[in-house]
Formats: sequence, C-alpha cells, structure tokens
Amino acid sequence: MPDANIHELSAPDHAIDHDEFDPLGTLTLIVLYFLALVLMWLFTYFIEFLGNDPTPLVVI
Amino acid sequence: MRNTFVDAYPDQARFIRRVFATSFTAFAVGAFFGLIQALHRTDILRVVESPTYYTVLTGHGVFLVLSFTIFFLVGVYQWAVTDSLERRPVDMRFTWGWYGLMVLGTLLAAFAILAGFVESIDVSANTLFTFYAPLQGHPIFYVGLVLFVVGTWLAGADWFRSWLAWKGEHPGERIPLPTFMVLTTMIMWYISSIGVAVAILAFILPWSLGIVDSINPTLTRTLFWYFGHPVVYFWLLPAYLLWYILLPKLSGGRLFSDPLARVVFILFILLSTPVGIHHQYLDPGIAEGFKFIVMTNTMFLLLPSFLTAFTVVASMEHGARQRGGTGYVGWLRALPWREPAFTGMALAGLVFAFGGFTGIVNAGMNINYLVHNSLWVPGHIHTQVGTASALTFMAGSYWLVPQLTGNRLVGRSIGLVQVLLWFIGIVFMTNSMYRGGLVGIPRRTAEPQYEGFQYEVAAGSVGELNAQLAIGGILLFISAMLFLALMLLTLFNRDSEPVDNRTIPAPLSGPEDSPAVLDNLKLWAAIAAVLVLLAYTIPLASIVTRGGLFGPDIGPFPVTIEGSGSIELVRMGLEFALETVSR
Amino acid sequence: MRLTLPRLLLVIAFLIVILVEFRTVLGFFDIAVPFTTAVIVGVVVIGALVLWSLLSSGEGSNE
Repeated sequence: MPDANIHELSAPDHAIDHDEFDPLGTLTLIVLYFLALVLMWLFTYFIEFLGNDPTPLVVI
Repeated sequence: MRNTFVDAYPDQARFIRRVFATSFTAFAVGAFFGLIQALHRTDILRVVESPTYYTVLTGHGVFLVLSFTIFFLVGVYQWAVTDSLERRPVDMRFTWGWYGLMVLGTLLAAFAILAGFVESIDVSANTLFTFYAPLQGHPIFYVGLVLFVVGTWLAGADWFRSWLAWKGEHPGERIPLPTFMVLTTMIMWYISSIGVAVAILAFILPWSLGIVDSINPTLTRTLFWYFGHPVVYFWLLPAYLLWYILLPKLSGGRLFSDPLARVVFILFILLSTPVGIHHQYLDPGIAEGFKFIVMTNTMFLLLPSFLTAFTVVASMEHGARQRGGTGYVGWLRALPWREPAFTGMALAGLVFAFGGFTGIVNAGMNINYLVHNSLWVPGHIHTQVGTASALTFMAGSYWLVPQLTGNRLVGRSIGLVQVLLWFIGIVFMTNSMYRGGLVGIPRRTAEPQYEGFQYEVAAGSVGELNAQLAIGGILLFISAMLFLALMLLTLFNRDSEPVDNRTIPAPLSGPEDSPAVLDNLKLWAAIAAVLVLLAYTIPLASIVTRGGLFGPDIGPFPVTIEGSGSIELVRMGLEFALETVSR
Repeated sequence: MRLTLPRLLLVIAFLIVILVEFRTVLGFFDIAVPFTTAVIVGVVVIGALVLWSLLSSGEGSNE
C-alpha cells in the first residue's frame, strides 16, 4: 500500500558546487525587497508621519 | 541503516523531548490567553472582567516570550551542541539540574501570575511582561524570574564546558558552526541579562519584600531595557540557527557561507546590548544625545539581519537549483513547498523581512513618536517573535521531533495547513494592529473604546479593524492547537520511522574560508563590553545622580496586597539564603 | 489538477494575504474598498483559481 506520508526531504537532481553557483535569483528577490522597503519608508515618513498635524493645543 | 538523532544520542533525545514538552505546554497556555485578549480588547467576547485582562496579558507575555521561546531555545541548542560536537555533556546530572532550575523558576512565576485569577489566594503579579516599577508583583514572581534566568546561565556554562572538553580532544580545529552560534548567543545573553538580574536582585525584589521603601523607576526601566532588547535576539537567534543549519538542507541544498554566518552572530554579540535605550525614546530623564547614539547603534544592527536575508535566501536558491529550478524567479517553484518544515520557515522569514520594516520605524527617534505605545508595537512583536521565531520553531519541530522520537511525523499535509493558517492569521491580526496603531489605538488596554471620541481610520472603520484582529487571533489559536495536536500524535506514532536522517550537508564555503579571528570569542566579548560601557555608563550615572539609587520616594502601585504571610515567608527564606551565602 | 494540493493551498494563502495588504495600500491612497467588496473579490478570485486548478486537468499529475 502506498504511504502518502513517504517523501524525500532533500533529493538534489544534480550537485552544484561553489564555483558554478551564481545566486542571481537571490539578487532579484533582494532588489525587489529593497524597493518595497524604500516605498514603505517614503510612505510612512512623508505621508503618515509628516502628514499628521501637530498635537492640538487645547486651551480651556 | 537508520541514523536519526535519537539513535545516536538516546539520553540527549529524551532530555530534549522533555524540554520541548515544557516549551509546548507554555505555548498552549499562552496561546489560549492570546485568544482571550484578541476577543476582549475588540469587545467581541469578554469572558473575564477587564481588570483580569491584565493578568491574562501578563501570562500571555511571560509564558510565550519567556517560557515557550527560551525553553525551545535550550532544547534546540542542546541538540545543536550535541550533534555538532558529537559528544554528550560532561556531566548529564548538571544538565538536568539547570533544566530543573528553569522549570522551578517558571512554576513560581506562573503561580504568582495565575494566582491573580483566584481571589482567595493573596498573591498576584499583574505587572505585564516588562514589570515596570512602580507596578509591583508578588516577590514569588521575581524570585521565579531570577531562578529561570540563572538556569539559562548554567545551561550556557554547560555548553561552554562541552565545548572546552571537545577542544581538548580536537586541538586547533575550528568551532563547528552550530556550536559557534550557541556560544556566541550565550555570550550575548550573559552580557545582557546582567541588567535584569541587577534590576530585580538589587532593586525590585527588596522593594517588593519591603526591605527598601522606594525605587527609582527610570533606573529599573533602563536596566530592564538593557536586557529587554537583547532578549529579542535571544528569541530570534535559535530561529536563525534553524535557518542557517536546517533550512538549506530542507531546501535540498547547502549553506551558502559559513564565514558570513559567523560574522552575523558576532555582530549580534557586539550590537545587541548597547541599543536598549531605543525602547525609551519617550522616557524623560535620559538625554537626547544618548538616545541618538543608541539609534545609530540600532541602525547598524540591521546589518546582520540583511546579511542573514542574503545568506539564507542564497542557500535556498542553491537548493532549488540543485532540484532543477531555473530563471530569476522561477527557481522558487522548485522548492519543496509541500514540506511544512520548509514552508513554515520560509514564510516565517518572509514575515520577518517585512516586519523588520516596522522595526526600522520603531527605531527612528523622530518617527517613533508616530507609533510609540500604540497597537503598532504589539503588531511588530507578533510579526517578529510571534512569527519569525514562533513559526520557525513550529516548522523546525516538524523536522526535529521525528529526530528526537524516532517516529514519523503524523499529518504532514495538516502541518502544511497549520503553517499556512499561521501565516494568514498573523497577516490579518498584525495588519489590523499596524493600522490601528497608526490612528492611535493604544496597546495594553482592556477596553480601548472611548466615548465622545472617534479614531480617524484611513480606510474602513474601527469595527472592521477589530473584526480583522479577532479573526486573525482565532486563526492563530486554531493553528497553534493543530500544531500541538500533531506533535502529540507524532510522539505516540510508534512503530514508524522518520523519513530523514540527522546529517547536515557541509556549507558551500566552509570554515576554512573564514578568518581564524572570528573564533576568538574572548576578543568579541571584550569589545562588546567596551561598547556597553560607552553606551550605558553616562546615562546610568546621570539617572542615579538625579533620582538616587532608590529613587525619589516612590511607593508601590498596589498590584499586590501588602503585609501578607507568604511575603514574610519568602523574605525570611531569602534572608536566610543570603546569610548562608555570605558566610 | 494543474496545481498539486500543497501548491494550491500555498497560492490561496498568498492570495488572501495580498488581498488584505492591497486593500490597505489602496486605503492609504484614499480608495476605500468596502469590507464586503473585499470579501466578494476574495471569494471570486480564489474560487476561480480552484476551478481552474480542478477543471483544466491537462495531464493529470500524480504528485
């Protein structure tokens, strides 16, 4: 009976050593992440932070 | 032949199983408290009275961020040291000893917190996890915390002892990477937990026992945060260890760089502690200049996390390419997404990367004013320790627990559903918390509903934010219970075999590529101590000069009832112990 | 099935997350998407995905 729970954890199709590995995919993800960080920062700083009015001065 | 961890080290596996069981028990209680809070503060279901909310909140904090995380840490570190040094502790009785001490401390603190639910017991500690004076808890709470921390110190001593014994047998060899991570974490922990030890032993405990009448809240707060920021790395570094050691293997690849991993952990020794004041940007009594220095240090602290993002993603990519992945983004599809152990860690890393952004906002001295003490801050905590650490721990358990029991994981697909539920739940909940925080909804408040006042929510309404928070909280609770059920079933899944063995593939760039100075732990500890002195000497001196060591006559805020018999008992016990020690 | 079940679940999880966050982003640009609209869009998108995955079975992968 096939056990659905049988699985290979790490079965590399072929070994890639240090010199033939160029982490271009990592570079892509990091560039995207960096762009997201910059956009979020611009938004948080210029819209949320600077967009708020000063604390209202309440004179009773 | 089967080669799991339990085959190689049965007694160690038994020990770590026990430690994990303690950790998961704390997790169960803490998660339940979290559910109560999510429903209470959103006014959806209030099963406790609002004053009791703070007892629940204290329990949620202490059980999750101290008991769950730190017990899991000592379990993983025991595994890492044993597996990488390939030796048992020098004296197993000592190992059981520190575990016993940590359990005793937890039980005492838990008793003090949980007694807050029972009116007939004259004990409570509704001080929240940060126990800011003048909030005062029962002395048993503080004694428990101290014993727990001392237990972790002894655990560190145990690992250093194993390493020294190993070093004697292997002269001139590099410290194996997992052990290196354990030792560096513990150096950071020794340097930083002195702060909380001094705060409790010298000030808060004597004050709660009535030995001294007054306290300097700025001083104890500063000492707390001296420890309170590094403690977040104490939660995070075991997750880092799993990302560096286990995740590459799970991805089907090898760690990209051993030297980079070492550099990251050394940066944490150096920079974790001299940053604590960034939690006190709004505290009066600390000069702006020091806050600025601390902000600079904090921004440098982003560096090890960015290095980690690179190394870990590159290791995953290596795995994906070995499994036949191609393209700039297409390789992501070649990753083993059906493995809950892999998917959980990958999602935890993703949430951590974006939660890290909210940390940058918290750390900015000006922009911090936007979010200080608002619901944003628990949002940040839940993406970081609540997901980066907790989800990684759960995912790691899907691989580790079969190794520790020799049983096959039960319900791998349910495990996948579990980690995905956590991911969805945390996004629902923290998205609501961040948005709520931006419009000024406070944190740590049982009833953040006010009459004659309305929050200006950018999109939607407060009611909708509340619904989203509650849905998120419920999903998280279901996910936590699923995880615990799977762990329990796996524990009893005898007559089965794990599918994987315990081998960890060697890094692509190994220790031979890293400069030997990285292993000079004394040097890094010394530099860290100098940085701490630079960052803290003058602020602490000025706090003490202004307010006095024991403060400008500040009495306790009555969270505990004075003059009770049990306090007397603890006090007598402590005085006796002190006498014995000083003799 | 065009997607394996684990992948389908993963894509659904990501879709939910993207929908929640996208709605927030729109909100910040003063485009308020009502709660019910968001839910309906979510159900439609995920339903379409599930249908696509179930119906368009090219070669049935037995993964």
